[in-house]
Amino acid sequence: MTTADLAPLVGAAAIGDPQEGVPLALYLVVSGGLFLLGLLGVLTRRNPLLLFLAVELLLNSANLALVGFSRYWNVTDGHVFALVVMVVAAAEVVIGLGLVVAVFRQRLALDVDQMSSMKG
Amino acid sequence: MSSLNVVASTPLLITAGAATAAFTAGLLPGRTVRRHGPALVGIAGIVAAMVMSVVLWDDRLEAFGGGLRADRFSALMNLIFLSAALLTILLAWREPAAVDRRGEYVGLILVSATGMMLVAGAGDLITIFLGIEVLSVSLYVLCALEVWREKSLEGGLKYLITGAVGAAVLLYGLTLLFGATGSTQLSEIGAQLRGTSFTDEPLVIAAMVLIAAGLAFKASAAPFHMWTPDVYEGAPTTVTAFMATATKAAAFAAFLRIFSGVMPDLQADWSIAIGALAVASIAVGNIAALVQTNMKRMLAYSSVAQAGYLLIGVAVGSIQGAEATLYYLLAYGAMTMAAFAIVIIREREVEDGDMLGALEGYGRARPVLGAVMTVAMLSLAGFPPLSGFIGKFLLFGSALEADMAWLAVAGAVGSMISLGYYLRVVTVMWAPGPEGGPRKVLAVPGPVGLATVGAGLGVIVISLMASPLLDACRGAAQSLLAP
Amino acid sequence: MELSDYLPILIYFAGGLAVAGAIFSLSKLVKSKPNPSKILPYESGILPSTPVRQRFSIDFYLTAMLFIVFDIELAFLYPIAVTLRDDGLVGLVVLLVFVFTLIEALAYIWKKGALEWR
Repeated sequence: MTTADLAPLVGAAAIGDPQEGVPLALYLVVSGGLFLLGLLGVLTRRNPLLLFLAVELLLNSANLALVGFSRYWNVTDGHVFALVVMVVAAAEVVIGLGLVVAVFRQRLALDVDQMSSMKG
Repeated sequence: MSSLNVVASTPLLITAGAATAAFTAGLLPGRTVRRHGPALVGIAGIVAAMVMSVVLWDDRLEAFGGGLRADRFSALMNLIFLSAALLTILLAWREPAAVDRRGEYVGLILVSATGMMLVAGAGDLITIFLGIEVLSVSLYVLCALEVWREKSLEGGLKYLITGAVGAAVLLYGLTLLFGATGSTQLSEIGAQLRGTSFTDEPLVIAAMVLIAAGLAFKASAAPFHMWTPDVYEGAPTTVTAFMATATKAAAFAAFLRIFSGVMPDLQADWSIAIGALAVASIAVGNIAALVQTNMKRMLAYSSVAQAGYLLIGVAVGSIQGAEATLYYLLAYGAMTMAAFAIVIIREREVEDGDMLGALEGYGRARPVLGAVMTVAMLSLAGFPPLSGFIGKFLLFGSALEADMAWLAVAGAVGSMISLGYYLRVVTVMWAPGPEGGPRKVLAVPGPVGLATVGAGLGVIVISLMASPLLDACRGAAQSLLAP
Repeated sequence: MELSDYLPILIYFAGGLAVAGAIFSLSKLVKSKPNPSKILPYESGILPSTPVRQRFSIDFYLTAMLFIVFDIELAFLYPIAVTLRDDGLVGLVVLLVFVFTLIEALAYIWKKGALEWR
């Protein structure tokens, strides 16, 4: 399927001029897919490491949309935002891995459903 | 670069600088310096930042090319965050978790406060996201600071996972808002959205839903509150107190900045979504709090319910609503801090000091502490002369004025249910204790006592000085809604 | 032109769902069906003589995590490098504050002994 085949689906304008490169709608569809995939992962996975992986998907789907929008509007704001998101994501994951290592050292089960010393 | 206006960002820069200094002071040679240096540096930085916030009260400045604003709204919020940080540092004076990690403890509290100030002063979507993340990431570490305690680790990891998901959802919402308007500057987005309705801008609907959900995670509003009781119970109690007061205030600063400040013309549409969150929080929080026997969990559910009351003022969208929300944030901060202070003191005296039973007869043995807790509970329940009542009265009144009586009704019913658990604490405290008063009573260290009594007096002062404080809140609300 | 003119939000989410669903169900459909000889580690047909899963020292993780943070922070230096000429002295001061904060963090880590190999 070429991008031209998508025209009846998303409207001709979204496909745009082939010379212009990848159209916005495709960025958004992939980004939305990644986001929902990340949400599915967050809801179905129980291992903290896999949960972090899913969170990375969520954040990076936003990054893809940011860059796509930024190109569409021809501004640099989105690129700056994406850079900030990347750094924040790294910081978050490092804290997360640090906690996982600490849990591992305490020899606790790495399963958030089994973490139930608190109830109520 | 010409608009790098450092003056507007001084409170923020001072706090961040004090955080760096506190980290460093925790590493210096010499036991006494390591023990007291960080806290002293932190307190000095907080006081300086508070002074600068007051100095900037009447200004409307922008720093970093419009990314950060200094107006009355940000000044008022800064004072809330900084007071919460100050009380937290004082309450943690002899905290076991903090004794050999004072540098980290004070430094992380200050970094978190810096993030909150970024949110409150945000003039840009990037600043909002960055602020939310800075405040959350430092709190994840603070929650798990007692690494040798299983509950603390567990709470930290749970908070990290739910917090990260919440932040990612919020980020996607901000991204769509940027996509719909082509700018990350709040003023520019506001100009773009003026006079539009949701039907014109389908992207904005999705953006609004995602942003509301993401912020509801941070404000622990139902149905995004499931992490709250576990994290509040697991975290060191001083950190819990900071989370319950300052983090909630930061989330509401973001709510007000984005919804009331940027999309006032779309209020008719988003007020229903926010109102639904409010009603859900009031119902879930109040009902679940009734059956709790652990004080920290009870206060966690109570904070969910309180988030519901606060959301009423956001949903209304008017200046009165924002004013009432800001006043109630002040009152809520003082009374929650006071309640947690008593739990913190009791926890150091007996094992399981965070259970309701540990407070049996405590008021008779410790009349001052008992009085502080009583004032806090009565104010949280909304008894007439106290600030909790004034705040709720204004919140429900603003809902009635905006023809959203259903919100006022939900709030009133919720408050009645809440009497059940708030008054239970009071009766337990003043009941005759187990033969000859409660087991084991230790001397309270000076700074801890100061912070406890300060928070208790704060509740009363906020009630007595309601009218000047309300003027200040109105000024802040106007700087937000009527630029 | 309004963005909404050509971006029906429903199609957007439907497309998103389709992509997510496709990837998700694809991995379910074509997942490998393991049998005892399939899950053996492949070592040129020779049976493995040592345990295949090796435990790494926790120090590797620590060092790796510290590396990630500093590595990503450095990403901010590239945009600054591009615009430094236009930003002049102010840009330089901002850059120095940023780098100083990173050095402070490094000093903190060093002093805490996280760089020692235990």
